[in-house]
Amino acid sequence: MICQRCGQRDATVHLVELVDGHRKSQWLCAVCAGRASEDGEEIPGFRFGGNPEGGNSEEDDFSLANFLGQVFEPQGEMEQTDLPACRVCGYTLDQFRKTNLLGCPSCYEAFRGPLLAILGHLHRHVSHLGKTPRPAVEGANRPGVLLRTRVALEKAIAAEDFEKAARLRDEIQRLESIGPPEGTSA
Amino acid sequence: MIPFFENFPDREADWLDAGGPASDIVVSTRVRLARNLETFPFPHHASAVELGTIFGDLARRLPRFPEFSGGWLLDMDQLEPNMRRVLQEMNLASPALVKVPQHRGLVLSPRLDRAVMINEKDHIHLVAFRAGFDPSGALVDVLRIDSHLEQEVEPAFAEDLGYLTASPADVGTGLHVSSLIHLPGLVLAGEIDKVLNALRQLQFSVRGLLGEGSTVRGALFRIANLVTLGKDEQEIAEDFQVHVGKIIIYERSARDQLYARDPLGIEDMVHRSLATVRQSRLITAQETFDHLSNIRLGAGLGVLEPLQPGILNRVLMQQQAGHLEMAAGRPLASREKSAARAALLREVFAAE
Repeated sequence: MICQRCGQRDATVHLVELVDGHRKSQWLCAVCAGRASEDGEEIPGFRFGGNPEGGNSEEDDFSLANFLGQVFEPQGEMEQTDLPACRVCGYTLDQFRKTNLLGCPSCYEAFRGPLLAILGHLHRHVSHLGKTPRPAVEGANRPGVLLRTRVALEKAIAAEDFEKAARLRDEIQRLESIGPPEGTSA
Repeated sequence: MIPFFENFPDREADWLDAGGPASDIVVSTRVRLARNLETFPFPHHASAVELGTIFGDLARRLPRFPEFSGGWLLDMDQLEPNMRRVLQEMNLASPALVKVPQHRGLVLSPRLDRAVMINEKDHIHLVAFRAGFDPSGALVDVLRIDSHLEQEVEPAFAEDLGYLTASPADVGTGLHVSSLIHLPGLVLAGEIDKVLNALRQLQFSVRGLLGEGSTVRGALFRIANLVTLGKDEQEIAEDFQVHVGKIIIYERSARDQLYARDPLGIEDMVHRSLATVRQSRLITAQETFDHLSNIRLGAGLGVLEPLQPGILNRVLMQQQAGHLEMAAGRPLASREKSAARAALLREVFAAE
């Protein structure tokens, strides 16, 4: 299904709102769903809860349960079978909905579609721009490094730090000249 | 007796005494990185055998890191319930670690300013603390531990989504920056809701350390970032620094305006609180929070003689139930706690 707002990307989020007591339903892509809340539309039941015990936990509890229950609706029986349990740990989307937690690192692949929608809501972004575990083997994760460098370039230009921007531009040209890493298709 | 708890409470976090940047308003800053092992289910979905394997492996490696040399490794399951409670009151262990201690562990640096929680929400939570308002400093500390960790284990990481965590709210950098901040000026001026809502709009979580909304006690708030994905670590720390920095400025100006408008009223409030903690025979934790808040405000405004650095932070910790029972060496009934708390306060704030 195509996103009902932008008409371009695949819809992965079922946004349900109550408008004047009527249920208004929209299918949106992750990007538009993320924007819906930025635009000030109320996402019913989507909230960050405090620690109910009021203890001195520093980890902030948050509740995805309502969000998942009311905003992301599983697309009926048929669609649910489209997302089988994680084949590494056996975790299901239903369990995720109950706990707000994933079963194992591989669950991020298994439930990618709905997760991207959720990440768009939570973080307004769906791409990691922070550090990587080890100095990347040259070329091995070139797309990620390229993306990060391009974003850094945009920020440097916005900040009018042209010395840094020139350095980043050279780095991008160098990365692009290396070509795709071995063993991956372009 | 477990060595960590010998000579308690001398072992309280002495980094709190350092003061640190903006320490008239910010008590402390904490930074956490969430990491997971690639080959295991996240702790809540792992079997006892898997949790035991993870704990055993990490408990062998982590104490060898330079940060933890001369520090402690605590198996949560081996501790008495009150010891766990004390660790939670010191903010070293999370409630989750205290509630389900089996196969959970805590590694601590000698000065208690760095910690690793094993098998919390994620396999590994690396934590660094700084006194006052110092997100960048704490970030440097925690990244250094992370660089040692990378030599030892293969973290769960995806090129596009970054470090993979049990909760999608932590994915990407796994970075959580938080400060415990004291805002009595904004509370008294009735501006607090406006300011905190603005912070929430900017994707920060804010909650009262004790209570919410109009029932908040002690004017103490915990502010933390919510966004962990789509920004790098430094940017998350800098954004936190900038936005929370504005709150600090608002708070200073609210305090100054209140004092300028009604110096006698503020002085009366502060001195009444000081008299109460010097004279009470029975006092509840909530009441203590309110009076300590007033005394802290008074010291910040110069209404009171400057206090010994960190003393209020220390008392806030020591007046909690777990600490009082640890000091007494036995469980205390509610009224006994009130009496022990009052005795502690009388001793700390004794008139010269």
